[in-house]
Parts: sequence; C-alpha cells; structure tokens
Amino acid sequence: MQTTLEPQTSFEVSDKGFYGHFGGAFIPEMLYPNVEELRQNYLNIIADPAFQAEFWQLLDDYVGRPTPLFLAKRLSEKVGGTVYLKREDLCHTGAHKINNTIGQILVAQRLGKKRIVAETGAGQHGVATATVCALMGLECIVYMGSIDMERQKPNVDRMRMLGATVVPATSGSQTLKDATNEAMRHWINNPVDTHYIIGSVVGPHPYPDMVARFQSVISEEVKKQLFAKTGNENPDYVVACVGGAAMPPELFTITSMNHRYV
Amino acid sequence: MTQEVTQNRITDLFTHKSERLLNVYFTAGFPNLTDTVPILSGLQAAGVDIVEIGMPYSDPVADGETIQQSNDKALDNGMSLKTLFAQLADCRKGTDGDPVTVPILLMGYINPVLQFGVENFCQKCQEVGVDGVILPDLPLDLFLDEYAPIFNEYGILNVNLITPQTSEERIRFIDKESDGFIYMVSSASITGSVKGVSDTMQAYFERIEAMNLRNPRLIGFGINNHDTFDKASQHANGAIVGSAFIRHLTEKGTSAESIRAFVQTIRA
Repeated sequence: MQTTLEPQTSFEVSDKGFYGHFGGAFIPEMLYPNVEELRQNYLNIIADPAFQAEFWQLLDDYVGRPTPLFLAKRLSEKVGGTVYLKREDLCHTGAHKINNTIGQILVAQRLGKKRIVAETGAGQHGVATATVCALMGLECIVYMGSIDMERQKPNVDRMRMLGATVVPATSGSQTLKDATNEAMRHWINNPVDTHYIIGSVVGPHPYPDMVARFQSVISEEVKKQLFAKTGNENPDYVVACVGGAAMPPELFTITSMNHRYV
Repeated sequence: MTQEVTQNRITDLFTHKSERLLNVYFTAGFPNLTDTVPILSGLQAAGVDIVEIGMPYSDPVADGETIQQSNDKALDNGMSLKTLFAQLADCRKGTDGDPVTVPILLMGYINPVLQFGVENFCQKCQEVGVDGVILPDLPLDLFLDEYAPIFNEYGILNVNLITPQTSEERIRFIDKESDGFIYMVSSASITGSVKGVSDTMQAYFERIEAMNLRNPRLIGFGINNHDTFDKASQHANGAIVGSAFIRHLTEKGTSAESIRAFVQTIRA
C-alpha cells in the first residue's frame, strides 16, 4: 500500500478520542473505569522524565535500536527508484511490536498493575508481550485464535517458553478478532489488577494514540537516517503492509513526520 | 418528550410495581429463526414483567459463552435487525394470538445499530412497540452528545449499566441521565459466569441500595435461579435472567409450558 505525504490532520486524535468520524471508546461500562484510568494518566506517565529515560534505554539496550535503514540496490533497480528498507525485523523478538509492548508495560507498572493480558494474531504481538512480561516479572496471559495457534505453532511455543499462558480463543472465527474479544472478556473479569496490552488498532481510545506514540520511534529514526544518507528527511512514498496489526499507526506517524511524540 | 416518556411501558410499569420484578432475556432468532415471537408471548403468558430481546451480534464482548453461542446460532439462522423488526411488527396488534402488552427492551451492541442508522432504528422501535434499549458498549457521553435527542423524539429509553467498579460520582451522573431503570451488573464479570451471590456482591447491593438513586434498579449477571433472584430482589426492584433461560430453552424447549415452568422456578 502507498500513502503520499500530502498534509493530513485526521491522524491527530480529538480530546474525545476520535479521528474524524472514526475512533472513540465503544466499550462496555464494565471497562469504563479501566479505560478512563488509562486515558487520564497515559500522557502524564509518558511525559515523565523517569519514564522517558527507562523507555529509551530499553529501546537502545534491549530492543537494539536504532534499527538500520538499508538501501536495497537491486530492488531499487527493479522498481526504478531508490528504495530503503527500515529493518524493524531486526528488533529483539523479530518485529516492531516490541516498541509498543515496552512502552505499555512501563505504563502498566506505573498504574500498579500486576498482570498483563493480550491478544495476538500471528503471534508476534504475543511474543513481544510475553517477552516484556518476562523482562519485568509480570504474569502474562495471551489469547490467540485456535486456528491461528495451529498455523503459528512456533510462536505459541515461544510465548510458553517465555512463561506466558496461551489461551485458545474458540469462539466465532477463532482468529484475531475473537482473540481480542476473549482478551476483553478476561479484562472485564479481572478489572482491577490487570492491564490489557493491545497490539492491534482495534482498541478504545486512548489505545490507538498510545500505540502510535510508542511506534513513532520508527519514523523518527527514518527521518534522521534518511537525512544522513540523502540530505532529505522525507521519503516520497512510504510502503507498508496493512494486516490486522499495528502497522497503520506507524504509517500515520510517518506521514506526520513533523510531530515528535514520545 | 415528557409526554412520550410517560407513555412508555417501562416507566409505567415502575409506577405501579416496585418489588420482585423479573426481566427475562432471550436472543432473537434462537434456537430457530421464527422462535422470537412465540418465546416473547410465552414469557408474557408466564407473567414476566419485562422481556429483553437480544439483537444477535458477532462480537458480544460483555457476554459469556451461553449467550455468545445463542448469538452465533441466531446469526447463522439469518437473524438481523431488519428481520427482527419484521417479526415484531404485528405482535402488539395481536393479529397472531393475544396482543403482546409486556414492556420490551432490545439488548445488543452499538455496531449493528449504527449500521442500521440510529434514527431509523429508533423509528422502527417506536413503530413495533419497543420501549427501550440496552447497548452496553454505547458510551453514555457519546449517547448524550449525539443520540439522546433522537431517542427522546421516539420515546425510546436508553438503559445504562453500573458495575461494582463504577465510582459513586459516575453512578450519580448515570442516575441523573437515566430514565426507566438502572441495570446493576452484579459483579466484575461477563454474563453467565458467576454462581451464587457472594458476600462481596451482597455488600455492593447494599452500598447501591443506600445511595437512594432516583431510578429503580434491576440486578443482572449471575441471576440464574430462585435463590439468586430472591437475594437480588431484597436489595433492588428485581432482577434480570439471561444465560439460565437460554440454557433452559436449549435443554427443555421453547413451548409455552416449558417457559412457564422456568419462570415458576425463578419466582417460586
């Protein structure tokens, strides 16, 4: 998918949690206190210098940032342009997901939460969540569609090796959507001591904004690296895959490169 | 608006009855597509005070397994809002047996309602004689900002939920902004997932009772037999039974006799 760098504004979340027509916080009243607690605190927590120091140090020393920006010469020749690859696959655990889970587990700790619940599709977000839970010594429960569990067994094994409890979501289509429903239900049943680390762009406000802030590190690095290599910090095009997962918020923050979030 | 609301069957009900009210939930189009109106009539004949009809949805996050499965089955059967309104179209007229006079609530999630169109939905509710709705994932603030005038215009009540985690300040706000009754979720849970009334639940019931809210209260989630109905009714105006009735329909069938037997065991 391509997105041009035309000026956009709708990626900026409104004070009520909307992006233009979309967004909001359509959650059952049972989750209102949890989401409200998060909404009232996340900006202050993220802005706290102690949080910033811990977040950036973990990204450097644990995740392995910055990830390289690689000039793919042969691909450039083939497509007729200059193509750089931002190597998020070189992050610890093999995906950009960990940028977000590091940020969220630090938020969860500051909210006094003792347990983490998460949903996962292919398993990358689940692995990234299980990893940060192991790092911080928090209990971790990951819901995964039972069909996805069969398809992505190595990731299931990896989460379990990291100490997470992986629970099959057997309702509905038994894939990511249903894993998300089950994780929500788990949160309803455990509202006080549990934080839900959402990895996909499906959650209520402030999740999409929070995830976008934690992932904006990617676009920050791209700007600096591209400037060093080409003298221009803005690419003409940004190409990324859009699945069920957390890629869109990064795209939005890349297209809003003038904003420094975290 | 005021006049419409005073004609509402739910507000009317609470003006002449305030104790041991029984609200029974079932999913539209379950177990078979055409079971909706016969079950509704059966519940009325069995003497329940309010009937809550579930609008099936693929992602009912506040519901446990029993109601999830009934939703899936109903969707497989082809149930939709359009079909539901068509089924309910004549129930108040009594062209097909006794007219239905019991207050009717529709319970479900906001997504299908938004797809249907909120105004269209309220208009249809009024046309077929639905008195109110329960939409757990419709945020109250958004309702007040965007939809309250539409609901008022068609005389449709929006029933709000409170839970043991709801702050006193928010309960006061919800009480101020609610008409009809307040739906007290009995514990931190999804539907059908608790057994019995614990001391914690009892304490929560007493705490809310002592707040002297302006709205009547019905307690739901985990009310599944005479004992839980009785305990809930001691601290509220009545209770709501859902999953237990769905299980009964599955195990004992949908006949009027079966429904009557179920209601009798709850009320005893």
